[in-house]
Amino acid sequence: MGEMVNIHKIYPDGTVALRGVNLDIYEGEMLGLLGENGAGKTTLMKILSGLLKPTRGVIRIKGKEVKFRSPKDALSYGIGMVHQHFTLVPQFTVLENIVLGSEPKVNKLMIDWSRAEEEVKELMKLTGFKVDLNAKVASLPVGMKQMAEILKVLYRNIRLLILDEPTSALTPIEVKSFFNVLRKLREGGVTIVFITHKIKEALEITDRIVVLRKGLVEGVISTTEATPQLLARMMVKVETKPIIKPEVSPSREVLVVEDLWVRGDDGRYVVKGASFCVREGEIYGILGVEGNGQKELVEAIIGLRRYDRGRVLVRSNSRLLAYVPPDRTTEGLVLEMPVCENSILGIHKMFTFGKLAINTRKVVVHANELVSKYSIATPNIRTPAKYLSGGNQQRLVIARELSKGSDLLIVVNPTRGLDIASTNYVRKLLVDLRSNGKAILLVTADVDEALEISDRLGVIYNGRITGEDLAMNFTEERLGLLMGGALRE
Amino acid sequence: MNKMNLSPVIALLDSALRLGTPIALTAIGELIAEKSGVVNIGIEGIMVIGAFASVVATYATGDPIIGVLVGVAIGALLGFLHGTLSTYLYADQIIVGMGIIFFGYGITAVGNAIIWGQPGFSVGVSTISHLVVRVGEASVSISPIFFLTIVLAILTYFVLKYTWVGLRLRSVGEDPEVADVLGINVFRLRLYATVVGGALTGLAGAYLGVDWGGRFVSYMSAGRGFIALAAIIVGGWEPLITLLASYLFGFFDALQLTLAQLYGKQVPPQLFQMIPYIATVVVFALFFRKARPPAAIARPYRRE
Amino acid sequence: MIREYLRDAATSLIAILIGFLVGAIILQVAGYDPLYIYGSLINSAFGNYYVTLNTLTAMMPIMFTGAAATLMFKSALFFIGMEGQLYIGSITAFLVGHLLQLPAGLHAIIAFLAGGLGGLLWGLVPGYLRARFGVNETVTAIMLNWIAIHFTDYITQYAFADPKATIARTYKILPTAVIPKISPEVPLSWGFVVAVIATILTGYLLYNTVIGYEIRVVGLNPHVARVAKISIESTYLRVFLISGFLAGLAGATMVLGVFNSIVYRFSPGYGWDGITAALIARNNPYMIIPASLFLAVLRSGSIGMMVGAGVSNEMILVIQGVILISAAVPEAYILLARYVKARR
Repeated sequence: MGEMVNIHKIYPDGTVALRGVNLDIYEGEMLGLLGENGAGKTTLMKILSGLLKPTRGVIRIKGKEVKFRSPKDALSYGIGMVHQHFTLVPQFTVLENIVLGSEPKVNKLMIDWSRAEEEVKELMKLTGFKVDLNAKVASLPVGMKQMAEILKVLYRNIRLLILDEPTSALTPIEVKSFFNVLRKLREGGVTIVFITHKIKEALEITDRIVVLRKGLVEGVISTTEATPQLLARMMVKVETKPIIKPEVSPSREVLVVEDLWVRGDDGRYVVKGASFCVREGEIYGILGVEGNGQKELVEAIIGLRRYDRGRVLVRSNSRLLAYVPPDRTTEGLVLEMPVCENSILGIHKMFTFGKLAINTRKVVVHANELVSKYSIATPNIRTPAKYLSGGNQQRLVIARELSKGSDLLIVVNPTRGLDIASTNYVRKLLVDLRSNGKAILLVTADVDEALEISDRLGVIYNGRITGEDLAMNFTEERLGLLMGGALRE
Repeated sequence: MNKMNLSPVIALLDSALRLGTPIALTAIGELIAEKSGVVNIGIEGIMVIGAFASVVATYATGDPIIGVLVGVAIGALLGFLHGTLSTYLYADQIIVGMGIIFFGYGITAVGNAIIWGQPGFSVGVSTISHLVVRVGEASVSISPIFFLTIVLAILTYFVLKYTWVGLRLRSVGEDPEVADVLGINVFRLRLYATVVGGALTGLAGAYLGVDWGGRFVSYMSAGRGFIALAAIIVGGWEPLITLLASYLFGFFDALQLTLAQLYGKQVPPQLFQMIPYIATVVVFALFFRKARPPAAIARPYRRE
Repeated sequence: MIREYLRDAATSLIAILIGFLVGAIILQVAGYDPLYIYGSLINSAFGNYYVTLNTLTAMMPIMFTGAAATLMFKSALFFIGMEGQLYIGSITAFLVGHLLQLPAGLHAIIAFLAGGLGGLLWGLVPGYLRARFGVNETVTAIMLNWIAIHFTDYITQYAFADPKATIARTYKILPTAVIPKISPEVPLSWGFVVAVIATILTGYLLYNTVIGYEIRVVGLNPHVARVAKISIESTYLRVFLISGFLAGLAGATMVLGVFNSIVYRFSPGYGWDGITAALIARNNPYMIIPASLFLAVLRSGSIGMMVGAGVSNEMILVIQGVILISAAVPEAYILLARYVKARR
C-alpha cells in the first residue's frame, strides 16, 4: 500500500540519519521495523507520517507519489503514528485529546461531545481498552496514556498505523493484551508498522521484519524464517562482550534505606516503604518500568524531596553526594555554559579565594584534569557543553560527580540515549569504580543494563522493592513477573 | 452625565464600572492571546496608541464611532505585528512587548505634538453616547462599551470552553508540538489570537480616548495594561473571574478618585493616587494562587 | 564563543540601524527633514563641551540602572522596576543629605549609600514575593513604579517642597552631602566614575564570584540549580537586593551630584533606559558602558532636538521602541542572510 524510495535524511545539525532507504509496506500486514538506537527507524517513520521532510527521496501511496507537508497531510491518506513520547496534552481530558483536530461538530462552532463520546466508546469496545474519558491525561498511569494515544490515532480512521516502541512503557502482562489488540486491528484491515528494538517482540507479533542499521536497510526477512540469532546479527555488528567483574566481597553498608515513604507531586504516596542497602564494592541495581516511584525515591535519598516515614542513612566519607541524574541536559549540565564551568557545578564553592571570588586557575586545572582522565572529546574547556556529543556530555557529568570523592555514587539511567561505544564506556567505568570499592546505586529501566553490571538487584514496582536477589539469580520470566507486578517475593 | 444627585456609593460604583472597563477589555483580549501561548506585555502600548488613534479619528471625522473602529483596527494591526514576530520569527515576546510600550508612549506624544502643538494632551473631542438608566431618583449613564465588555467576556468563556476553535486554541498554548502533529496550524492560530487580543486592547484604548475622557492625554494608559496582566493571573486564566478581577481593580481606581474628591482639601492628592497601585499589589499578592498558566506560554514554537 | 559575541553585537547594531531608519521614515512623513533632526540630535549631544558633559551626566544613572537590569535578566527574572527604585533611592539619599548633620565627604558617602539602600528596600517586597511565592515580578514592578513616582511627587510637591524655588523641587541638601565635581575644569560629578566602577564590578560579580556563578546557573537552568543544591529562592533574593541597590544609587547620584535636591519627575526614564541598555548590551555587563553612552546620547540629544528642531523629545522613545522590537528577532536576520546567500 505504501512505498518509500531512496529516502535520505540529514538533520539541520548535520546528523545523517538515513542514507538511502527503500521500504515497501504491504496492505494488511504487520511490519516490524527493527534496529538499535540511532538506526533511523523513528526518523523514517516520522517522514512517512509527515512530521519530517526527507532530504531526498520519494513516497508513494497506492502507486501515487505524495508530498507530505505536515502530519495532517499524512492523516488525510490514513497514515497515523503513535510516538514513543506521548503526544497528548497533559492538561486536557482523554476525550479532548482524542478529538483534538478532528472534532465532530454540532454546527459550525460547537463540538458535538456526545457524538464524540459515542464514537470513542465504540472504538474502546473494538479494542477492549478501558480508559476514563473524562480524566485529565496528566493524572493517568503510563499504560492508560498509551491506550489514549492509540485511541486518538484510531479515531482518525487510520489505514496505516505506525507504532514507535509502544511497549516500552507497558508491563509484560499489559504487553500481552496489547498484542491481542494489534492482532484484532490487523484482522480489521489496518496495516501496522511496529518499530522496536526488542527482538522477541518483533518475532512474536510481526509478519515481516525490516532491519535498519545506521540509516540503511540491513535486511528484509519473513518472520517465519527469522531467528533471534539471525536478527541480532543483522542489528548489531559489533560483538558485545559481557562485562567480567572481578570478585569483591562487599562489606560495609554505605547507603541504608529503611521503610521509606515518599509522596509524589500530587501528594499521594509513590514510594511505599522501600528498604534496601548498598555496600561498598557493589553495584546495587534498582530495576523497574518507569513511573514506579524511582524518581521520588532517588530525590528523597539525595535530599531534594522530603520523606514522611522511614530513614535514609549515608555513611560516606564526604558530605557531597555523587549523583548522575537521569537527564543530563536538563538536570546534569547547564548546556550554554562552557565545559570548565560545568565541571564545578555543585562543588563551585570549593574553587574560591576567600569563599567569594572564583579561582579561575584552579577551575581550569580541574576541568583539564577531568577532560584528560575521562577522555572527554571537546575542542577545549571553553566550549559550551551543548556542542558536546551525548556520550561526552555524560562523561562530563560522571567525571564531575566522581571528583566529589564520595564513597557513594547514585546513577539513574546512565546510558539512555547513548551510542554503543559510550554505553560500553560508561558501564565499564561503573564496574571499575565498584571494583575499587565504591558503593554504587544504579537505578535503571534497562533490563540488559541491570543484569549486565549489577551485583545485586532489586525490582521496584508500585513504590515497593518487590524482589531482591543476586543479579545472576534472576531469570527473564521472574523479572518480567516482578516488573509487571504479577509477583511479590 | 448627571452626577449631582447621586449618592456617593452609587457614584463610586458608577465610576468603578467606568474605570474597570478598559482593564477588563484588555485583560480579556490578552487572556485569549495567552491561552494560545503568546504573552504580549505590549498591551500597555497598544492601549495608549488605541486611545490616541481614536481621538485623532474622531477629531478628523467628528464621529466617535469611527474613532472606536479606528482604535480597534490599530490595535489589531499592532497585535498582528507582535503575533507575527513572536510566532513566525521566534521573537522574544517580552522584549517585543517592551518595544511596543516604548513605541506607544513615544509615538502618541510625538503625534499629539504634531497635531495639537504640544505633547501633553489633545483638544476635547465628542464622545460616544451613553445609555441613561434611572436609579431611584437619580440617573446613571452607562457606556455601550461596558455592555460589550460583558458580552465579550461571556463569549470568550463560551468559545474557549465549548467550541473547536477554543479547544484548538488551548491546545497550542498547552502543547504546540502535539497540536502541530494533529495538523493544527500553531503559528496561524497564535497569530489570530494575538490579533484578537490587540483588537480588544485597541478597543480599550478607544474607550479611554472617546468615551471616558473625550481627549487624549500622554501616558493615559498609566499602567492599566499591566493591571490587566495582574487581573488575568488573579483570575487564573478564567475569562469570567478575570472580568471580576478587572472590575475590582477598577474599583480601587474609582475609590481613589472618590476619596480625592471628598478629602482632597485635607490630604495631598499624590497619596490618593498611590491607592489603586498599592491595592493592586496587595490583591495580586494575596490572590496570587499558584494558578497554572498555559504550559507553553511565552515560548516560541519551532518545527524540527 | 567569539562567533556568538559577534552575532550578538551585529544583532544590536542592526536593531539600532532599523530604529533610526523607522524614526527617519516617521519624521519624513510628519514633514520634518530626518537628516537635519538627527544632525541636531548629535549636535546637542556632542556639539560643545557643555552638552558633552550633559551627555555624560545622563549616562551616569543609566549605567547604574543598566547594571541593575543586567543582573535581573541574567537570572531570568523580568523585573522592570528600576524607575521606581531610582525614585525611592533619590528620596532616601535626599533625606540623609537634607536632615543629617555629618562631616563633609562622609556625609556624601552615607547619603549615597542610603540611596542604594532605598532602592534595595524597594526591591525587597517584590523580591520576597517572587522568591517565596512565585508572584509575577513584572506586574509588581510596574505597580511599585507608579507608587514610587506618586510618592516622590508627594515629597517634591508637598512634604519637602521648597516654596521659594521657581520649579517644583524639594529643599536643597546640605553642602556637606554634595558629591563633588571631578575638577573645576571638568564639572562632572565623581558619581560618573563610581558608576563606571559599579558596572565593571557587576561584570566581575557575575563572571568571577560564587554569587554570580549561581545567578547564571539559576538563570540558564533552574532544574540543574536545584540538583546542584543552589537555592533558587536565595539567589533570586540576592539578585533583587543587589539590583535594587544599584538602581537606588542611580537616583542618589542624580540628587547628590547633579540637582542637589529632588526635582519633580527629574528622571526622563533613566530606569527604562537601563532596561534598553541591558537588552542591547545582550546582558553583557561590560557592554553596558557603550550601551548607556548610546542611550545618553539619545537622552541629551533629544532636548536639543526638541528645542532646536521642534520635535517632541518623546521621539527617542519611538526609536528605542523600534530598536527593542528589532533586537528581539535575531533569527530574522539570520534567515535573511541565508536567503540572500541562497539568491546569489
